[in-house]
Amino acid sequence: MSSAAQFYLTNILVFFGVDLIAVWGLNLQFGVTGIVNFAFIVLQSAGAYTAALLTLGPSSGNGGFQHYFGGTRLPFPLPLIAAGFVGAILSALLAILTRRRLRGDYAAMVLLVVSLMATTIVQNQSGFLNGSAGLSLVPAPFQSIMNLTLVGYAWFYVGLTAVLCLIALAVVRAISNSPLGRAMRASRDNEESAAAIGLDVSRARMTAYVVGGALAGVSGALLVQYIGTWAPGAWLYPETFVYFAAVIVGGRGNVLGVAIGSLLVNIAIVEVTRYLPQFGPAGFIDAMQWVVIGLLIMAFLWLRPRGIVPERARQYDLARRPGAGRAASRESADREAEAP
Amino acid sequence: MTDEQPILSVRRVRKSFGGVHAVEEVSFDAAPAAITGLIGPNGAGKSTVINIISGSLQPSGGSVIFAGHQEMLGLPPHRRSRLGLVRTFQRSGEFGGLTVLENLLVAGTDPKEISLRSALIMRRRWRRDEGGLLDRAAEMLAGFGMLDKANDLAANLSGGQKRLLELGRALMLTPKVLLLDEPFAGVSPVIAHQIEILLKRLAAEGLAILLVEHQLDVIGRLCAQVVMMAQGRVLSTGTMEELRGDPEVVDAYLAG
Repeated sequence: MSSAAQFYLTNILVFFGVDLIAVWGLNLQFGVTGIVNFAFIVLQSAGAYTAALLTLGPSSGNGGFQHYFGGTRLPFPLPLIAAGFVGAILSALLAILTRRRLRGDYAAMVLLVVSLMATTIVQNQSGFLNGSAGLSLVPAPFQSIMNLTLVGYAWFYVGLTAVLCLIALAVVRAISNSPLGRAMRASRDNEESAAAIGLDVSRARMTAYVVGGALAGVSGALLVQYIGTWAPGAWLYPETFVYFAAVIVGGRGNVLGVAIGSLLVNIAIVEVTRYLPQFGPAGFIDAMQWVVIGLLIMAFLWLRPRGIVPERARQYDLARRPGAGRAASRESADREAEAP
Repeated sequence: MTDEQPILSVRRVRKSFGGVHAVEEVSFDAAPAAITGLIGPNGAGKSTVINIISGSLQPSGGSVIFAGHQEMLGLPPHRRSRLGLVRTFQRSGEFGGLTVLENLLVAGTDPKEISLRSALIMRRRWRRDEGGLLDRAAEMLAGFGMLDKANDLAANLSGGQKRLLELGRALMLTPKVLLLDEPFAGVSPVIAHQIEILLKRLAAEGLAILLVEHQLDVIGRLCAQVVMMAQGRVLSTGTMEELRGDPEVVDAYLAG
């Protein structure tokens, strides 16, 4: 493979890994717990900015051409871990913001507004995160000491991404299969009933917010350390809907399903349209991407609301359970007692 | 009236929405090992009372005493359920995306095991405890004749089966008091009969049941003690026979 082709492939693999981690985070919130978090992209972005600030060094570096607060230089993997924490904490704040009497549609609206406000603030506070221009020249971990070719380093980063994906997968799978995951799905299906059987709905939702936020933060850090730049244009509110599309198309609540959804929506649509011959007015194809994503969401909600790979409930074999036989005999005793 | 100490005491409970008094000075008791009926015409305030006891509504005043001494007001609904004060809803409230079996498991799980720590680190413990839960759930489903539905999504059950499942789910918490809001609504005669037998057995085993129901023949068959409400007040208390003879009660039902 030519090195250009390899470079293209590694880019796609890293982007896919980043999207996978994010989509699994969103799936935990939206797919499993039913939280409509329209500020999800802000969490990913917070992770990216955190990692950037913790690797760039002081604002006076690089000739002082960009302005930001609190820059420092921490060794890998501290920036990544910090990004996860910041994502989790910010997400917990969103949970508190929408905790009382702000559920469902209202919470979604508030979160959308939060996303819009976050963009506006970052764009206009130029000394905060360098405004609309964003942060650039974010160093990649170990690149300066590893002495690899550009493609060689890209493959190293693919490996790093894969390791993080496996960790994320282990976490979301462990949660989905546990009593906590079951409680999250119960809270999603019927909040009132969940409380009536003793489930602490607020706590289950808070956990989904926090873990999903941590995954979003890590995904942002992973991305910014690879591409080296992050600006408000990268996390406008519609980006959240791309992740929602991946979850809805793939199958809400299904870890494998949303991974397929992410491959289709985050990777295939963008990459395929890249090779279409340009036609129509400038930017026409980019705009069409949004139209296609919107149509996909609608088509799936109408025709296949549970997605390509629907959520699968765990099946148990009860036939040989001792309880099954015992109750059957008591039931027939009841019937006899009732007989005149 | 039984001689036993009531397990649930509702005292002078009031609730107003804006200027409207939905419930005024309602007091009654529920005894253990008995089914207490709560009847009255539409708008009498029965569901409001249930909502106040279970914690989904905050009353404007009064108190709800559980197990002889514990004040329930101020506790969130899920805490009351864990103490053994468990309710079902008038509209069936199954977890549609969970299987029938999972609906029971999620109710029976020890709350301490529903945590991130338990999900990520202490997997062996909840897996071990799940064995016992599965036995209880299997016994419950076999008793309902629903063992073959165990792995079906709860959303796909019939209306009556959903009622049974909701009852079973409540029982997985081993309640001391069961609040049932019209458990016979929209249920086929066969399953209604099944529910009646079940409620009788549960009462015989010591459970206190508060039953909201408008079919008076069912109340007459099941309840030793009946509380009659009209227009937000308790109008009369006694056996169904006594209430049937009370002209004020008859009048309220016809007028209501």
